[in-house]
Amino acid sequence: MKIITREEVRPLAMTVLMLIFVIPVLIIGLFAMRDQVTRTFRNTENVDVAQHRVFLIRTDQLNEETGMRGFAATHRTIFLEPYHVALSVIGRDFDQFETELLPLNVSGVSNALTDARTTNAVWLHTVAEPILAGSLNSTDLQLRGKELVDRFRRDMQRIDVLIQERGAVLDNEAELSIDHIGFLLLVSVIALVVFGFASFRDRLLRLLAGEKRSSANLRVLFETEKRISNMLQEAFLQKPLPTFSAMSLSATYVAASDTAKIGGDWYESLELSEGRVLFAVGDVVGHGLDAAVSMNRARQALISSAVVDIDPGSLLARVNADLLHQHEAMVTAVCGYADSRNYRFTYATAGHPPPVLLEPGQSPRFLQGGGLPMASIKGAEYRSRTVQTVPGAMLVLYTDGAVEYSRDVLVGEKLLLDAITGAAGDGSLEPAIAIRDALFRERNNSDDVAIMTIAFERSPRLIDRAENIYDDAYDNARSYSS
Amino acid sequence: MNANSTFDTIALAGELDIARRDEVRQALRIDGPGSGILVDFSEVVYADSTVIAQLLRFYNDAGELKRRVAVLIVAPQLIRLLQYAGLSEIFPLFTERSAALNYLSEVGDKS
Repeated sequence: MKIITREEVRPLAMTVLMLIFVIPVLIIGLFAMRDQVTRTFRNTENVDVAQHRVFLIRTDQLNEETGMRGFAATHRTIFLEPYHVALSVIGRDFDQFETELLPLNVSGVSNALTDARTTNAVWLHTVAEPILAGSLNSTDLQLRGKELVDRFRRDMQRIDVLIQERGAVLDNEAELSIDHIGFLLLVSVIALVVFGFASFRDRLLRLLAGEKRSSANLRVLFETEKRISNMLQEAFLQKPLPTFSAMSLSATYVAASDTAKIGGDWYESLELSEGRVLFAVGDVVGHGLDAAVSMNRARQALISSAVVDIDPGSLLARVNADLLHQHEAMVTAVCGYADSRNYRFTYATAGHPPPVLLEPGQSPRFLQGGGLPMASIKGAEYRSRTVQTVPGAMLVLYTDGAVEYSRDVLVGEKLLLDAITGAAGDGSLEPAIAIRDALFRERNNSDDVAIMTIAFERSPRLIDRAENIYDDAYDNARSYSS
Repeated sequence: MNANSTFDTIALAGELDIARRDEVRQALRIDGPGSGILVDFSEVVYADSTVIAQLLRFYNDAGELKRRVAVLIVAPQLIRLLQYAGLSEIFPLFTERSAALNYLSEVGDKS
């Protein structure tokens, strides 16, 4: 079931308020508007009908008078026709007029109407009837009748004006009323829009803010991870290698040209005792911070196990167990010991390309490799191999980036052997860098590459030369880190 | 999957790298116990370390579900890569299809 949070209460309350108040107001307003419009039409119609009736009554009266004048002047009954017609309808017109005036509710009109009706009756009684009877002539008609007729006309005029005024008032009222209802409707619609916006504003703002925040967070995370991973790699790889008696080491690391692929390639060396050196080159599957962390753990495990000086196969088995325990990413590695006292290399590989051995006067050759990558199979066993070499022999260790750039590892291996032959022929003091240059001068390294060499001295070395090598290596490492 | 035999076939081709990780993961998923599995990589020429990692996971899964696996690979450079990765020590690798099928049918007889 969904639980309503505190932030959601406000928009919810807004919505309820909107439903309770605004919508009924809107509905009532719409009905009132319809009502008012109907009423306005009816009023206009009533006013028209009343004014038309005023016109009819005036016409009736005019017909009466016209007929009577004609008759009084000529005594011919033919002139009485309009008089009789008018007489037969004027009463009904007055009655209907009264009915028609009722809905208009015109104040003061009934007095005027009564007066007009009475005046007409008096005219009929005191003017028309005596003329018909012959007791009045046309002069009397003009004298006595004029007064009454004028009075009647004034009354009817007054009624007409009153109706007109009433009509104007009604129009005004209707206009005002429609204005009010319209205003009410407008307010309701605005309220609807405002409530609607208020209800969703918080949510909209939250959504927008959340969107911004998450993209900013992602960017920060990405940059942080990249920085940390770069820092770790620099810290681990760019340090100068130590110098060892009767042995010379060189190493290089090249970050992938595709920055997204910068990963966990590493190398390590440690002098365990006079003339006995631990060496290791490894590669963590994956990229970024996770890879850097796995790399660090693998190196720590390797060094801490190497201190008790066990064989390389057992060393890798221990690291494998440790990495599996920590659920780290898959790591491939080659590690071993170089012993300058008997010119032996002892090594083991874990899912890693095999080392290359170069002996004086010989072509370089791949040693045997194999073994499963670490952190993949529990209890995996690693075989230690020992190679008896001679003074001047060099072991080359590398990561798969040095042989896989063409994706045909057989081609890559041949090019690596050529590069090693070339570096040895040049007599470079930094064979790892010479090999790297030979491999990548004309190719892009899409993956990371780490290369390390360990060479036994051809003859006992001099102290001052050792110091020179150290300085060179240090300068070289510095120039590469910048 | 294969109606004419008693084993399943997983076939992939081309260069298998991180870009095809999801496809490879999907292909190398084992749903439950059953017959032997022929991993037909005869058309595969490259496998990067992420695919090696997936093959190792596949090896673990197959072992847990007691399903025997034969891997058919032909490209020499791929054979070399799998040797690097030590996979040749745990997977029965075959360069001939008939040999792989023989191996799987022997396993079938045993179980």
